[in-house]
Amino acid sequence: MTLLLKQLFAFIKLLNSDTGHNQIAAGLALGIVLGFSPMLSLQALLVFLIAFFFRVQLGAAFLSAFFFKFIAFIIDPVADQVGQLVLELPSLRPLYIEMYNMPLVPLTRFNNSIVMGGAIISLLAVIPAYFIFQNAILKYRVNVVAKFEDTKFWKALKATGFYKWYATYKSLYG
Amino acid sequence: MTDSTTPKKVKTKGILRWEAFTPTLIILALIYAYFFLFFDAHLRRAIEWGGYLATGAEVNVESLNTSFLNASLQIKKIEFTNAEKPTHNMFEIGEIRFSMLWDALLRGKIVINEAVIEQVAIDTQRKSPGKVKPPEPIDDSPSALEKKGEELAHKALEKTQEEYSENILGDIAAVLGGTSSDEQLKNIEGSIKSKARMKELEAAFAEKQKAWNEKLKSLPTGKDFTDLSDRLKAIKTKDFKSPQELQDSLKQADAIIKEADEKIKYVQKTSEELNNDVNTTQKDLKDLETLIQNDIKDLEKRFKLPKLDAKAIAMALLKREVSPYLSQLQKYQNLARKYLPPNILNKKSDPTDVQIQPRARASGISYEFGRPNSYPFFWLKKAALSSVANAENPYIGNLKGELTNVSSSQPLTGKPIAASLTGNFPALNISGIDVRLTVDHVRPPFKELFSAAIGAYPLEKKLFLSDNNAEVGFSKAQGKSAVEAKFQDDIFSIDLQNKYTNVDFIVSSPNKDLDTVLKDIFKEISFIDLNANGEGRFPNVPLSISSNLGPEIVKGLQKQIQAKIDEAREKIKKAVDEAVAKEKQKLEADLNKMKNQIESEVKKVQAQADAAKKQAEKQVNDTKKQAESSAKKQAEDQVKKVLGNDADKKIEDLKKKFKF
Repeated sequence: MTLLLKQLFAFIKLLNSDTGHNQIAAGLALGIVLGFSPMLSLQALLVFLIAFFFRVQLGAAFLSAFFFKFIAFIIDPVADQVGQLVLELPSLRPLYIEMYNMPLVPLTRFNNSIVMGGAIISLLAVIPAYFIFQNAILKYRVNVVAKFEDTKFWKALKATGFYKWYATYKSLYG
Repeated sequence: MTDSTTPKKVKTKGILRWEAFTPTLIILALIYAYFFLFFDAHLRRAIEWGGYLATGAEVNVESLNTSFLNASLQIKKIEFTNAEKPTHNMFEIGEIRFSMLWDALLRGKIVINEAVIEQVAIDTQRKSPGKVKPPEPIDDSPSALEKKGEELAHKALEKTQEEYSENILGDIAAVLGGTSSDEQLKNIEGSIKSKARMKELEAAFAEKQKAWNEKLKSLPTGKDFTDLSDRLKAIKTKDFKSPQELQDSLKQADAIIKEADEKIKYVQKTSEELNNDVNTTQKDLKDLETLIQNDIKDLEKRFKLPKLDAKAIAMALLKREVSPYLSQLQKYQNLARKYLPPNILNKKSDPTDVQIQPRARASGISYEFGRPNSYPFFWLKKAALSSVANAENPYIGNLKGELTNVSSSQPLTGKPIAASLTGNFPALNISGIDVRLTVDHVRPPFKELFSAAIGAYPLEKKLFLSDNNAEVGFSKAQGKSAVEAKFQDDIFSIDLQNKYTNVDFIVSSPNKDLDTVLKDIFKEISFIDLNANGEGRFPNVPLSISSNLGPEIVKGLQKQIQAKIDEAREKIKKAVDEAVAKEKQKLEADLNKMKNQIESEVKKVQAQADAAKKQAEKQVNDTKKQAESSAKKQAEDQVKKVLGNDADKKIEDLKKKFKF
C-alpha cells in the first residue's frame, strides 16, 4: 500500500513537473494491458516486468490498471464475443493448436474467450492511447499548470519562507 | 578558472531502470531462501491443519520434502487419528510420493506419471492420543438446505420406525400367554365405525323408501290408460263426410298419442331416478363392507395380534441397523437433487427459485485445442498402492492396488479411470478385500461401475433388539459383504449383500414361552443375510431390503402360534359380524325387495303406456287407410259414370295405349 501511495504521489508530482510526459503516457498505456489481462497470467507478469525494469511511471501504470479493470469488467460481454469470433476462426485453428501445445504459451490463457477478447481490445488501444495520453499531459501542463503558476495565489505562496524551505529541501533530497 | 555560475548538468537517465535490479535480486533471493528453508515445514503444517479440520481429529505428517527441480513431493508416515478412539489411528500411510512433469507444467498442465502409496495400516496404536476436534456449537440458524435435509432425513427415519415399529416380539409373547381379548370383545360395539355407518344407512334407507313410494304413487295408473283408450274409441274412424272431418279425427288421435308419449317418458325418467338411487344405496352397502374389514384390522391391531409377515419381522429386528443408512441415503438424495446439474436430473428449473445476485464476472468459454496424445489439464497416469504385512507392525495390511488414468479429459487421453485394490489385514482377520472402479467417459454412453467385496471380517457384539420383551443379537460373528453399483444413462443400480456366518446368537426373554420359542427358532438359523438392492433414475433410487431372519422366524413361529392367532382373528371377525352383519343383511334384503317392487311396478306401467300408444297409432293408421280407400272408390265411381256401361273395357284400352 505504501509503495502504491508513493507511486501515486510520484505520478501527481511528475504530472505537474516539466519532465517525464513520455514515462507517464507509457505507464498509463501499459496500465490498459494490465487492466484487461487476468491478474495471474503470463502476459500480466510480462507487462509488469516491462513497467518495472524500463523507465515507465509505475504509479501511472497501477492507476491506469485499476481504472481499466472496471472498464474491462463492464465490457466483458463484448470481449467475450470478440474472443469467440477470433478463437473460432477455422484458418487460425492450426496456429492455436500449436500454441496450446507449446511450453509457456498456454499460461497466457489465450484459449479463453474473455482473455483473448480483452487482449485484442487492449493491444488495439495501447498505441493510440499512448499518443492520446502524451498529448493530454502536454496540454494539461500548458493550460492548467502554467496558468495556475501564473496566478497571484501561487506567486504569493512562492514568496513565503515555507516554500523557500521546501524548495531547498527538494533540491537537496529530491 | 572555472565558472561557478555554470548550471549543474542533470544526468540523463537511460531507458532501463537499473536501480530496480538490485531489489529484484534481493527479493528473488529471499523467495529462494523461503522455499529452501521453510516451505516444506509450512506445507507439512498446512496439511496437518487441513486434515484436522477435514477429519475432525489430529493428523500427523512425519516428514515432507518437495523438490522444485523435480517438481516432486514426498510425504512420509501420515497418521489419521480415530476420532472415536484417539489412542489409535483410523489408518496410517507409510509413504506417498509423486512427481509432476515439467514438460506439462510449462504448458499449464499437471501430469503425474506415477504416484506411489506404500504401507497402509489400520487401527494402529498412536504414540500419544490424538487431539479430537470438539463438536461444533449448535447453529441456531441452519441454512434452508440443511433444514430441508435434516427434515427429510428425520422423515425417513420416522417412516421406517412407523412402518416397522410394531412390537412384534411383545405381541407374540402376549399371544403365547393366551389372548385376554375375550372380555374386551364384549365392549367393542361403541368403537366399531361400521356400526355407526350402518345406522346412518338405515336411516337414509327409510327416508329413501318413503320418497320412492311417493314416486311410485305419482306414476300413471291403469285408469289413466283406460281413459285414453275410451277417448280413442270415441274418435270417428269412417264415413267421413268431408276431408275436414277426417283431419279433425286425425288431430284428436295425434293428441292422444302425444299424451301417451309424455306418460311413457315420465315413467322412464322415474324409473331411471329410482334405479340410480338403488345403485347408490347398493354402493354404500359395498363401502360398508370395506369399513367392516378395516374395523377387523383395527381390532386386530388393538388386541396386538402379530402379523407373521417375514419382511415386517425382519425390519422390526434390523431397524436399528437399517434406519441410519436409510436416513443418510435420504439426505444424500436430497443433496444430489439440490446440487446436481438439471441435465443429469432431467428436471425443469423452477423460475421462482432464482435468487437476486450481483452479476458474477463472466468466465467466458475456454476452448480446448488439444490434439491426440497431448496433455489434458490434469492427468494422473498411475498411482500404485502397495503394502506388506510385517512382524514390526502387524496392523499393516497386505494390499496391492492401482489407480490409473485420472484425467480432466478422457476423450483426449482415450483412457477411462480404472482402480483396483486387493488384499487383506491378517492381524485384524480381514481378508478378501477386492475393490474395483471404472469411470468410462471416453465416449458415450458414459458409465461408472463400482464393486467392492470383503471376503471375511470379524464382528463384535451387536444387539438387534433389546427391550422389555426380548433381547436378540449376537456376541460374535464373521461377516462377508459385497456391493455392486452401476450408473449409466442416468440410471443408478445398486446391489448390496451382507452375510453373517458363525453367529453366536444372544436370545433371551423374560417371558418363558417366548424365550423357549425364540431359542428354538434361532437354534435352527445358521447365518444371517441382509441384502439391499435398488434401481432408478438418480437420485430417486428406491431400496428394497430383505433378510433371511424374517422368513426363518416366521417358519418357527408358524408352528407355535399361527393357530392361536387364527383363533383370535376368528373371534374378532365374529364379534364385528354380530354387531353389523345382521343389520346389513336385513338392509340388503329390504333394498332388494324394494328394488323388485319398483322394477315390477315400473314394468307394469310401462307396458300399459306402450299398449295405449300402440292402440292409438293403430287407430290413426286404420283411419288413414279407411279414408284413402273410400276416396279411391268415390273417384272410380265418378269415372265409370262418365264413360258409360263399357267403362271397364275402355279403361283397359287406355292402359294398353299408355303401356301401363
